[in-house]
Amino acid sequence: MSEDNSHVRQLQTHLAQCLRTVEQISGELQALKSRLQPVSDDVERVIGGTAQGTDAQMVSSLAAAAQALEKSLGGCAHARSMAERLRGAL
Amino acid sequence: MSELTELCAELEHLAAQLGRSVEQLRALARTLEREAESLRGQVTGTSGPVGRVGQATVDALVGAARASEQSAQDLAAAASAGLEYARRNASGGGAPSAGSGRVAGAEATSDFVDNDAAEAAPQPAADAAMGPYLTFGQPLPLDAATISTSRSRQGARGDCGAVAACDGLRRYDPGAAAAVVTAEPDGLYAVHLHPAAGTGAETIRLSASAPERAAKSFYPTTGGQSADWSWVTMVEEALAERKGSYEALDGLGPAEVLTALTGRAFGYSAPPRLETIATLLQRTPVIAGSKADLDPAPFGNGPSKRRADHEVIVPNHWYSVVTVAELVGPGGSSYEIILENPWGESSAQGSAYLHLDEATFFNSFDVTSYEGANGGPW
Repeated sequence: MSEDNSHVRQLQTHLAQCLRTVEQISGELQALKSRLQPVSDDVERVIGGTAQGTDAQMVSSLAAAAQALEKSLGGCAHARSMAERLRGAL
Repeated sequence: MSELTELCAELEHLAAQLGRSVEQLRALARTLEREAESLRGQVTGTSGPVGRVGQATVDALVGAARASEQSAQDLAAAASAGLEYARRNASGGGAPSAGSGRVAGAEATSDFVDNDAAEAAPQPAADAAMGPYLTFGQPLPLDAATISTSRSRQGARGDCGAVAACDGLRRYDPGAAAAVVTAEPDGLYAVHLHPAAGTGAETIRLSASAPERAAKSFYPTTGGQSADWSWVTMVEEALAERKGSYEALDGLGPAEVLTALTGRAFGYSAPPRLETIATLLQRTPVIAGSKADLDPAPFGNGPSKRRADHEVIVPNHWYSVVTVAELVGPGGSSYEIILENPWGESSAQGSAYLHLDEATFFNSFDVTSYEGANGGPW
């Protein structure tokens, strides 16, 4: 195997490992989202409109967590798409 | 049950569920960042489209890893705020706790008497699930020999991570386990916990009492038939004192507990091969977490299949690793892992021990916790 081929092979291996981890993270994020969402909805329905002080902070922190989950899922989708492009270029 | 009480129960349940999943997410995010940096090393210096796309890919991977780490932090904060809300608003402490790794109340075996000394030291707030504080009828056995032959029994909280961590340490290093809890001349117990890896231990002094359904241990002298107060009881109580309540222990991860017990850096990773775990066990306790969506049904092939009638893998639950055995057969060698359930023996849940072949282990467990090489980093 030439040095170039060996380098490409190494890149492909590293890339495949990164993709596997991205998939694992995406799965974990989806599972967390499905657990968080119903509780977040119930919190909003039961106390969302009237919460004040620390209760309001709790409502906000659930919303912030949901937002962060969406952002991470978007980040994973982007990373996956870039990794696919790199794989195509190799 | 009122709508508010139901909501509080839901929030409690969420906090218990999120605990280990958040740790898993954090571990994966850190793994991805390491892998991305390794990939950066490969693409740096590469010219042309591969170099350009490679750099952009690395940046995207690092971005995804950091966003996931941030998610884990935000989820942990949300779970904590939800738990706090539930604690403030649950009517009469009656909201059901539904954390993982819960077992019905262990029967008490000591003679209990009221003890004025209980007022002399702090006590974490118990709750309806834990029952009233009871005083120990006799001094706790805290010597390494007794601890090494005991076996833990989780109490009424969902703190399987903490109890499995205690099991892991007492098996790996009974002397270190025995040093965690010491009896004081004034009748109190001192529990020595490290606030973080590499820091000195802080001492929490506790009275000779604990909630009725706290974690306990089986001792060989009782034939493993009943559980009694033990060093694990005191570790659990000290952790609850540090966290503010027993409820706050639900979903606590073993890495945090092992770091507190030893002062060394424990973390999480995806389960390694059984051969690797066998090597790890020579230098660190290893704790394994089962998948949250696992079907607690008969399982396995090979060695696992033979035992399936008596063994059940509990989903979303931490087990301490007892050992990994190499089995040599006509077709070559294979490995079997033996795991201990912190619930102890239970007629409803079968044997306290699982014997799994590698495929069953990988199908059923998705995270392990152990000390980093050369003390870290994680």
